[in-house]
Amino acid sequence: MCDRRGVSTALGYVLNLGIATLVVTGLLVAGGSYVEDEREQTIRTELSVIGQQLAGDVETVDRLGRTTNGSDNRTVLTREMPRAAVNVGYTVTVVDTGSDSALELSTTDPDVTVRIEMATETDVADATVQGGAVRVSYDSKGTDDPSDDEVVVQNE
Amino acid sequence: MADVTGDPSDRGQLFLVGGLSLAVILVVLAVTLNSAIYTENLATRGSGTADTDAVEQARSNAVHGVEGLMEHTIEANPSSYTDQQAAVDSGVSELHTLSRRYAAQNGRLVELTYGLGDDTRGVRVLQTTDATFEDDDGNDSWTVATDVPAVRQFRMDVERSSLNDGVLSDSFNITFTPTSGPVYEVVVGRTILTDETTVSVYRDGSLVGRCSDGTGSQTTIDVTGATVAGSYCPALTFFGDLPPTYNITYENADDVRGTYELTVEKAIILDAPYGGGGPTKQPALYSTTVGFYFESNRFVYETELRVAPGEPDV
Repeated sequence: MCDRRGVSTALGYVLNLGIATLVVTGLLVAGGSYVEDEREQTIRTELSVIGQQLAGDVETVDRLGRTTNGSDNRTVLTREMPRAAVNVGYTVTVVDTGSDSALELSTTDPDVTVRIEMATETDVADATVQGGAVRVSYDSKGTDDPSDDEVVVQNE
Repeated sequence: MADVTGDPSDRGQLFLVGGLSLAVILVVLAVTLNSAIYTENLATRGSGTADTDAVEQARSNAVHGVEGLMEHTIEANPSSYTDQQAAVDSGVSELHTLSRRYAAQNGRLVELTYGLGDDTRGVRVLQTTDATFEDDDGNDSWTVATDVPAVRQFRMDVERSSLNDGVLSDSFNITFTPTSGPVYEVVVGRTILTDETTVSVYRDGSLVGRCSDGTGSQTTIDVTGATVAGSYCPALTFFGDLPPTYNITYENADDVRGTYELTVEKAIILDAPYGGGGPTKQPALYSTTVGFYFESNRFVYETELRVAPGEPDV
């Protein structure tokens, strides 16, 4: 090799490539984890918004359902929830917190769970629904006793 | 090993690959942020309260409409239940058409239905001429109605100068005596000092509350509506504490002058003290049940509305 420098060319190139690789890899890793964080945060926000709207619907059905009476009474509210949050499918579960109910919205990948409390006077039946069209209805179970009644959440 | 001494345009392949990967990451980031914007938009969308406001409004309109219809029908057909029922039937039909048209303007469907026989019968006792509240035989202590489960639209218009201003036990009073439970007395008297009509309510002999009115020379007392001269009187909100059934009696009916009316939820009451110069009684529907149906693009609401104009809020 026609080279006048004190260091061999091969070592120079190895150093250059090594540092370049490190820099580029570092950028990719940082960029990747930043995007992951953003994604998780966005999923959390979107699930929270969807949950609040659905909780509002459940409370509305509870409130208006209690004003109905007679044998042919019905209170039904339908909502088109988004099918996915940031292109990730999610499920909504009604959980019983003792005195009240709450909605838990969760995705599996990334693992995000959001919990929305609801304040209802009627019991909300335990249920699990997917994103999409959801129907919230008041079930008076054919009796006049309001403590029997339930609010039912189900997929259309 | 890569040919790094050759053509200069072959150099920097690692940076190319690295740059491409970074570009892909940025695109994913853009998609994520787009979802974030969508979420913000989703959050600002109406949560559907417009529909629930509309149903409450429609329901309230239906109840008020049927209340007015019933009052008018009873006035216009004072002699038979069948006439009143027929009038309510055609009236509800009209209300249905009007409500439907109004709701359709906002893309909603409202339906009102009435089935003949969807009502309870009662009797309306009234005195329309200005006189003392004695019965037809001139008794100042008499039973207006016995064993009634409920009463509505119990209103009187009394002249202040006719009221007793002395001892309360000499004043005109209306007594509600249930078969078992607390006895309520509504005593209507006058305070000379301030020239006011006073309405006092007693439960088993002890005072619950008192309301007075000093305006004009006449006082309108709405016993079931709990108002004295148009102002709310909390003492008169005792109907929730009064168990059915009860008797309604007047005492010292000669210590008051004016007009009154009441409607009781009982199909037949005795003939004896009515007619002629005193109070009269006539058939009147006590309550009506109307089917109410509301539908919008995401909401369905169906119920039976029980309408009884002037019934106390319990």
